[in-house]
Amino acid sequence: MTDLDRIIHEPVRLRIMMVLSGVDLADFKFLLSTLSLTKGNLSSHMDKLERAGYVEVRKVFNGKIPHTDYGLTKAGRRALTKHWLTLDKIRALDASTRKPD
Amino acid sequence: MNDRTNVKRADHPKDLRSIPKWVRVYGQNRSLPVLVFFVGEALLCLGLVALVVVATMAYRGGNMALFWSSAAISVVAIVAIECFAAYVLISPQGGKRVNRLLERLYAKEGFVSVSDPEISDRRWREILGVMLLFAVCYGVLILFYQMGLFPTQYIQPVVALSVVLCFVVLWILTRPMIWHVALLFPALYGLHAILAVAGVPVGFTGQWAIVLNLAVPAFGYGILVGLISHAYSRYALYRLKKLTQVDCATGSQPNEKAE
Repeated sequence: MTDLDRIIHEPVRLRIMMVLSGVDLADFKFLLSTLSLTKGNLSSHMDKLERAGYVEVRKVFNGKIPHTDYGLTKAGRRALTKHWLTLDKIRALDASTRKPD
Repeated sequence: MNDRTNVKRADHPKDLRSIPKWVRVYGQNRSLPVLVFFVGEALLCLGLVALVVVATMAYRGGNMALFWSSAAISVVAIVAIECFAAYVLISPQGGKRVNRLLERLYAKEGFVSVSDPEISDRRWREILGVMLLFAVCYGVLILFYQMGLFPTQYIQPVVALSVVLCFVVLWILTRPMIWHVALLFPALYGLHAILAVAGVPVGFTGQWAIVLNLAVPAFGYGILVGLISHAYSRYALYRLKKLTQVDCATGSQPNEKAE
């Protein structure tokens, strides 16, 4: 029951996933400014999420300027929902063990 | 470290689960382009009215050179505005260029899309159709006014029939890109019309009554709604940043007490 997804459970990646779950697309700059991360740090997290199949990347060019958009995949949305369900179960279990008999 | 410790340390479910709500509210209320549009339109309208005033005064004063030059500038300006509107609405390149220009307004914050940016061609045709229908209704109503079918004080209420309907339909067609606050514009415009019909002195009288009765409510409420929406997007971004910014070393939020 306590089988947490380590990819999502990391605090920064969980927040990235939550941000992306509220919109269809967000670009690298938006995630960078919203999460206050360094470019390298964000890239590393996005790579991990992309490799896990939770995030899809769309690269386009605005003239000569590259533009990278991210969106959650269906697998990403399913994994996020499952992650919260697992967390709820852990919390419920924790609360029940804390109750005095 | 076991899972229970991890859960206690890193996540506040009630707060974190509201992240999608705030990012969505932020995306739907980015109204700077709308504000730029309304302010730009208001300035254009003001410029055209000023030209017409100058032309009228010149004609009455017998200064035909000034009359013809201001009349010519008015015609050129109207044709230029129409050509620009057609370029933006009909040509794909025009739409892309304007979008790129408008994205620069949010250059520091980045891009976020609440619905797929590739709205279907059919949906675009529907939106364009509604706007054309609105333009036709607007023209017919002004024609009816010039034919003397209703007095000046009822020009805004009569036009409100098409404005309210058009904006409600446009809101339905563009959902979920735009938040509910956009409905405030037809609501305020409709309320203004009801007050005018009820005899409340909300309208203008005098020589420029028709222009003022049409332009002031449209641009006034448009800019007001744009400002409300913009303020709400700032608040949503502030809430979002408070929820999303984590201390990478500890995995906790900046205001979170270490356990």
